[in-house]
Amino acid sequence: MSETILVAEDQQHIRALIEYKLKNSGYSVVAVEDGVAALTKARELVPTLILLDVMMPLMTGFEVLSALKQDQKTKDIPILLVTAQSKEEEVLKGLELGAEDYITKPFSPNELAARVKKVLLRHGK
Amino acid sequence: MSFQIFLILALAATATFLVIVISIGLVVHKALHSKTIQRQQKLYTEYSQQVAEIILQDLPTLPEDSTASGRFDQYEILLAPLKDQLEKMTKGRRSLHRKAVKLALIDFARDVAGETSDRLVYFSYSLGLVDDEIKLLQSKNWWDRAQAAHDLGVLRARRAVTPLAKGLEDEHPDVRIQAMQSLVILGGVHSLETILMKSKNLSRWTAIELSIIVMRFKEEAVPFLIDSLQSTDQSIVLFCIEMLAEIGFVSAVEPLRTMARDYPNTVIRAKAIEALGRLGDERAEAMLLELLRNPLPTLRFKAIEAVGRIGIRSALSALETRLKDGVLQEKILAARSIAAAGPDGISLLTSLKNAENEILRGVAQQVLEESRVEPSVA
Repeated sequence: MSETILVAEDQQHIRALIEYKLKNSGYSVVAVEDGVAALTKARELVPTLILLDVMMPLMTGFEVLSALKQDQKTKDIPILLVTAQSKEEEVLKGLELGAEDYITKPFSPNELAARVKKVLLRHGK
Repeated sequence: MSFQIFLILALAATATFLVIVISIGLVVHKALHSKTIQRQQKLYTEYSQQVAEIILQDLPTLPEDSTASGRFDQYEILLAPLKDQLEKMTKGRRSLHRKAVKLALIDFARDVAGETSDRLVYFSYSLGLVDDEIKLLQSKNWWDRAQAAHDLGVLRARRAVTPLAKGLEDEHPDVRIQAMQSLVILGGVHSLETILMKSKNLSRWTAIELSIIVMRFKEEAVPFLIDSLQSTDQSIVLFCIEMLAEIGFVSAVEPLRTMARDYPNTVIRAKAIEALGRLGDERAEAMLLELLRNPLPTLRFKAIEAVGRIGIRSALSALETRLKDGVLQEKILAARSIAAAGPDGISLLTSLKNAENEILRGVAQQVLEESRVEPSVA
């Protein structure tokens, strides 16, 4: 069975792009468009990895990240943050909250897939 | 009487009828508009999917000696189904679909990098979207021109450099700002040469936008700022002086010294003197001391401030003269610069607290209080 990746991204075109790229790379992908849905799906599915956009409606990526890290069921899921370019403070905050890695927009889809693979390898997946 | 009642009733009926017709018209218009938006949204979603697929499709590796056109041939093959699809449509339908494709390409272009981004650039050219946007730069609506100027930057359309440079002279500030930002995306720091050469009468808002761009490049922007000190536009020269002072790069001192001494415009000379004070380079000290005796008050005042900012001890005697001989504003400026020179300046001001001249005493007292040397006296 392939690894399940939860993608939380509010911009439809980016969601489609990431979903397509990760599916092509052999992962099973579940995509949601806001922070609340991300939290709900994460608790329900306990995915292998979560790709979390920082700026999302209803709940920001940081709030979701923080909630997931406080939950016994989800605290060990590696989380990769997607942030806007040159927002150093966002990156630092995300890493402090427990994110595994980050990728900044604009990003190369190939690099994104490579980072996902690396994080999963680091976690023995 | 009955005729009047009839007339009133007829008018009321007509008015009611008109209100009903207008209301129905508005409802229909709103429904149609909402349907168009839904349709555009649907098309956008479909094309986002399609574009995502073609920009992510794996391509066979090209031989090492292959040219760029080999890669473009591959891109063209990827794009062919979408092109065929659009070709088969009627003119009106095609226009609507092309709009959705354009929006999808622009959104992707904003968020992706690497080879994927190169594909998007190629697709924009090949579908004729870049040419469409260049044409839109001539639109009579400023918002269309501004949007086109913005989109050409996002699409990294190098073909648009010349039309965008023309956009720097547009009558609307939003178009000028968008053109400026797109030129920076396309040409990096080198675009400053064109921007500073073509821009005229910088508004406050445009100057703020441009300063954000310049500060992004900092030292790299200095040669372009120095070159543009030769501009015939006063707003550009003032902007460049301000930026050179803000960046604080050493190579700016000599050109600013020349301007402070020789420029045939007092406003610009004053700005250059102010900038030299902010830069605080010792090479400017002798000239600033000389300017303390300049007959033009604006230049003299700026020189007094600059000397104070640098804190030049050897200027104390000249500053004391200005404090004693100058008008009230000049006295205060001179006293502040004397205070900035350190302990010697402070003791000079302290001694002047007992001067015979009442104004002199007051100024010395005020500046000493500003410097928090002694507590305020009620």
